[in-house]
Amino acid sequence: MRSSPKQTFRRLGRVATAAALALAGAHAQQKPSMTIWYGDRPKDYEVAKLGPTSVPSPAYAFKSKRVLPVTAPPIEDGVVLTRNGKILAIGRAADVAIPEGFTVVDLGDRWCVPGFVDLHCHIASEGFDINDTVHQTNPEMRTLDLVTMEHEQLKLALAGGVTTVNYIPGSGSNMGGFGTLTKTWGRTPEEALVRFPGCLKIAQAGNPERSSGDLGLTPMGMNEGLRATLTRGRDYHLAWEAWKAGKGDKPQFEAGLEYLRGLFRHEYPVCVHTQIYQVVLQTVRELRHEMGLWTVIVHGTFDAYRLSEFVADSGVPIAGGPRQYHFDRGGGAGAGSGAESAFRGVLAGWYGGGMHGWRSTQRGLGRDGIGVNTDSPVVPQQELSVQAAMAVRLGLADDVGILALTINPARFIGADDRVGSLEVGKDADLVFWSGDPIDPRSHVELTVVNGNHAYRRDPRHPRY
Amino acid sequence: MNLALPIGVALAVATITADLSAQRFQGRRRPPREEGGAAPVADAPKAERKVSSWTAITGGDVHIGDGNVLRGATILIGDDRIEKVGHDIEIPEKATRIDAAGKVVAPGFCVVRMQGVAAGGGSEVRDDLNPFDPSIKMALAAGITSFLWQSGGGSNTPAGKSAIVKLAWGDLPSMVKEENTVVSMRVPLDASSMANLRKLVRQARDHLDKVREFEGKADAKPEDRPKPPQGVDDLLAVMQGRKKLWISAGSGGGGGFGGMMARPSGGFAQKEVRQALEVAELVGQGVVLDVPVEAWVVPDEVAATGSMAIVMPRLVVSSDPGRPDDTGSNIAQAAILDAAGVPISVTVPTGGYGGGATVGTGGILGRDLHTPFVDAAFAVRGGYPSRKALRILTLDAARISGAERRVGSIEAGKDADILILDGDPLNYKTFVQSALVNGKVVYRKDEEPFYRHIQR
Amino acid sequence: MQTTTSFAVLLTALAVTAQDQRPTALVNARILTMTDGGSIERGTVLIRDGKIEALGPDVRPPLGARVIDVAGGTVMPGYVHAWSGAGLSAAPRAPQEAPDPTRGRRGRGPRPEVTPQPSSGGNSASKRVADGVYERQDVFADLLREGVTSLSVRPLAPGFPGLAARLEPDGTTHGDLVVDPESYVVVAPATNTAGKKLLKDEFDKAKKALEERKKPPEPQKPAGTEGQPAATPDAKPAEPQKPAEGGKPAEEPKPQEPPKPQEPPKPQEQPKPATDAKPAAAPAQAQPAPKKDPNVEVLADVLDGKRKTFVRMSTVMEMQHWLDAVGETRFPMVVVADAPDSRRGRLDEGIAELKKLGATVLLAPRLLDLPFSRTLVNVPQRLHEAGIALGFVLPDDPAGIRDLRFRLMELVRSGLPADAALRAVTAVPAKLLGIDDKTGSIVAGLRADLLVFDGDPLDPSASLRHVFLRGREITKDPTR
Repeated sequence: MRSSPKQTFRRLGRVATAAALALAGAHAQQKPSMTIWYGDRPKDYEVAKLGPTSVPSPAYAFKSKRVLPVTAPPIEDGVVLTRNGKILAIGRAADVAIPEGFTVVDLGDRWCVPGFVDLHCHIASEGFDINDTVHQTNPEMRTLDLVTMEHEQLKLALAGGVTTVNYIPGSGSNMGGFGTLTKTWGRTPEEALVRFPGCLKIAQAGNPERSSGDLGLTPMGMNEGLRATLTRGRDYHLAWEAWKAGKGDKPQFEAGLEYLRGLFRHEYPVCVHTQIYQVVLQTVRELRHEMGLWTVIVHGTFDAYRLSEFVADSGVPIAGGPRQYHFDRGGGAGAGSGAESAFRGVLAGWYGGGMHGWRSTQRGLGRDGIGVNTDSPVVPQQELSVQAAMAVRLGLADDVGILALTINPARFIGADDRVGSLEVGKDADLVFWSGDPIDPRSHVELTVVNGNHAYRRDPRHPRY
Repeated sequence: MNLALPIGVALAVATITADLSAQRFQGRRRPPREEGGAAPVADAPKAERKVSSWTAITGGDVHIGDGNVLRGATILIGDDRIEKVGHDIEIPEKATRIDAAGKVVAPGFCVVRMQGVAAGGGSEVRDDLNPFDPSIKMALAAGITSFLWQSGGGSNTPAGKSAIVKLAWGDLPSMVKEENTVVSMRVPLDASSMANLRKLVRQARDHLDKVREFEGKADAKPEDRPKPPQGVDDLLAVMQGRKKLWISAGSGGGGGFGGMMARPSGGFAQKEVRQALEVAELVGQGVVLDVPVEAWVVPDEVAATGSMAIVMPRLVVSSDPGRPDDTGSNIAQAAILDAAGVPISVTVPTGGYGGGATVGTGGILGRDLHTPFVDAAFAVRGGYPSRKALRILTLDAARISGAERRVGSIEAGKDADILILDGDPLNYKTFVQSALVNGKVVYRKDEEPFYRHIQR
Repeated sequence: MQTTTSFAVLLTALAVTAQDQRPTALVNARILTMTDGGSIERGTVLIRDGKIEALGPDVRPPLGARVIDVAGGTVMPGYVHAWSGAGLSAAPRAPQEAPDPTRGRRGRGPRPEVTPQPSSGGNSASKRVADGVYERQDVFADLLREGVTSLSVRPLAPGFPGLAARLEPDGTTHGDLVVDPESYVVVAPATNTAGKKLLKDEFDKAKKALEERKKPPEPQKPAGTEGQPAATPDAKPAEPQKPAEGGKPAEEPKPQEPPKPQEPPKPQEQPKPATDAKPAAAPAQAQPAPKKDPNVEVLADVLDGKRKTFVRMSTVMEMQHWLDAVGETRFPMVVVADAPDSRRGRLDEGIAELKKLGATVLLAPRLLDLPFSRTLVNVPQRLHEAGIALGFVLPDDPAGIRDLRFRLMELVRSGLPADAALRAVTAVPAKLLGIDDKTGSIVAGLRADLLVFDGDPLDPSASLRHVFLRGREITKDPTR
């Protein structure tokens, strides 16, 4: 099912990127040593393991008052046909004929919205934020084996309209390990899987500071630790590529570096829990510019939105949350100077600063744009939409708010061929809301994942 | 007294209906106490008091606090109180006019719980209030104009101090006008504590009988007035309806990490709810269930005692796997209680991250009191009628705090605690444009930091 | 740097002639008089017998006078430090500021509110801090060298800690040092229930005591017991008995503690400790022979307007609690705002309260940050513009005094008129202490307590060159 983007599409993306760089070029020109390696996505996956291309599900025709495909204009009185986990058709009820054998599910005046995507989530195991902080960097760790579909918060996630999560290790060490991109419902974890690794998890500053006195107390030591591990990974990757090209010996397999190899093949990104101006600047320089990695900023809070142009030009997107504001203490000479303190919306800041998501149109690598995340269970998984509501409250446009919950994060993580919008051929992850999904007053009536009913609201005892 | 209605009956009644139907009040159920927010009287009684300054808020859509809206109405304020509300009101010439045309006008939010704003932890709130606490402005920006402060209490008998703290910025004398409207205690009570409570109630009743007898006598001398027995002052006040009794249950209000509570805790489950209602029967007054988890299972029993509830809609307590239908938390609790005729207010999630019942600059937006409307919105998400949901933060919150005589709605005679908003008070995009406390404008969005940069 | 060299030479010369009895003439000086007369751009200040004999552009130094040419320099009055803890055994500390919840740990939500709970204190209003001042301490001379020519030290504890003392900073014996052991009454209200109750209770007692005084004397009483000030309403009871000033203290044969009309028994004889309880019985009610509580009597003087009173209230919050506690009780007071905190109400937000109290203000000379913000507010400027008489609380250590001019420059740069800033450390505090007829400005007849700068005192490159106390030049510490 996975098809690589069309050649023309790609070329277009590169042209757009180049144009954007030329436009904003101050950074690049002033610092010629920083070359942005956009590279290509691999034609095939060597390291990553993808989820099933099709999941058994009955044939349904979901009818509702309003359908928000997200990547296309809203459809009034729409219908979505699904079977075997995929969307077969979408359109106005008047235009789409419901074939024989399709069970009609009439959701009345509900809104049909794509399932939300949360790129920063720690819930899929029993327990909380998971950290195995043996070493400063732990590329040998992975969350894949911890995913269980019975987790209480995954059930709540469904009731909150969240159908895809990037379940990542905690931020107790600089490199927590590899996360899993999974649906929040499935009969088995294998069925729910979207991709493993979903990403490599890196955390910068703050949480992973090592107060033990070991290397990594300050950003200097952290950068050093990350660079050392990533460099080993890159050498390992290059050795394999060389061998494949007929140059050099076959490298010895190293389990601890194998997934780093996929990282350098751009099969999946590094998701960096990073925040604060200086740390974000350094993250983008080191991971994106120096290592050339497919980089996604998650948990992006505080004042780093001041860097949005530079970060966007670097082709790095950002998922913001869970705080959604930076308390700007202002400053300047005297009251009324216009530089007073304020609750600044983090995402409004990123968006307003130029992070629009148009630097690249290709999937994944090099794509900018904004999303929201929960850092669940810090904020409960089911409250992802509240994060968007607060971002909109503090100045983000409504229509961007819904993108930030759906297609944007799907694009950053490279899963927009499956999730993030309602399009023919994509996964049938549909959520039926009682109204505007960003408004906390709205509730989820029905959640469909991979074409299967995953949650239906019991009005006397709704899950959420 | 058999409190245990058949659960089936309770469940049958507990469907979510949008309205509060009168025919439900039957059987042994006490009629609910009169609604504090009756329709406003357009022609209020002529002012006896001397008014030194008039303010008129004109042209706004006035949400009076009980769910009703008066479009394009005028609110006339004399000094610190609302004089008249309605249409065709004559505005004194010297009145300061505030044009609210195109805006929404609502009562200031009364939150039933807030910490870290204006009040310290002293035993007498008025003696350590800080009228210049900058958090006051943040709370006003969130629409909060008053809150219930509590100290002490939470033991096996009703006790504790409380006050309605008005966020009258910079004006200490105006900040506390109602005191000790609420006392609190906790459940579960063990057998001996319950016996002790019964004993105290008996003593209090005996005393009330003596007082009645004394007052019946024509030749009673004031010095012979019966003195109340020791230690029952608060109980007496509760029994006479002078103070509201809040009942909490141990750790019932906790949220744990991420608002997720382990099951089954010693929380405010069905058993504790029933005991709280037993206390209500004992004292002969409705009580306030302070963040019950499973009151939704027995809504009619709650209603029958004339009790009210503070709900934490986002609280998540897992169900007992064997009994998913009548255990655990329920986001529909507010709706179910409301349908049974139980007034409710809400409070924010506590525990873990998020900030809790306060305002500050380090919490998580949407999970603290910068956005008190979010928890009311979650009550709506659970089925509470959207049309009247503003009551949760205004009139019903005031009733739960025992302050409905003074705050909670826009009607003649009440304190002029009023918000002017740029939209539906419970919408996530709405901001408070200005806030009045005691008739004075104490917050203006365009003149304070925080949100002035947000222009839609 | 030539100035420095020549100055060093001059200094050596001065050290030799320190005890010179000749008149001194400061010539070619810019003279900041700190009066409504303003400044004299180029003139002479003539000092004789410890006093300013004359000043003006046309004053000629008499024959034989020591002449100091201060061309390009400035003469101003010495600093008047009205609220000092210098030399007291336990240096009082400013109350801890409330924690700023915005500075909580990153991403962890606000810190739990820590409410400082100061003790409420008690009434020991008649206790003299002077009795605890040890004369042989360097700090007085050190402060003097930095320009503090008038120094008042005050007790500092919650409640009514006692009476402040005015010192001559060059005094070497207790008698020379303490010139007024009862300079003013200190009140440091604690903003809590007990503290407010204390205020109310003690002022209620004082009101009763005052009523007692104003009753006609009972005939059977021996005449000696009354002599209350109320009997002679015209007399200013405190002032006339004070030791004469201006002369050299050595000449005064130590009349240290002139009996005041309502002189209480020595506080040390009081059995009760300073920090707690009220007197055992309210004097007004005690029968038959009512024993007067000296502490209450002091407060009765306060209510009667017979004693100066400095009330430590740094914020409007404290002023509002004061008003809440004392009701309509009023007396002339100086509000001392030595620990301003914009999170409890800046003084410029409390002008109504200040006017209600009829207070003058002594405050810390600094810019205040707005809450949750880096924006700074010039509170002194705003008070000045509102017409509130304004003095500054000076630092207690010599280095702080050296730094004082920079604090003033900061305020002046952001809007406070220079004249107001300098008056706030000289003439205004002198007036608040009631010694403006002796010092604090440059007027013929006043003590020659003068500072000479080699430039404008508000120019950071200028230095303090000479300090005169009662006309006597204070030598610089040679080690500096």
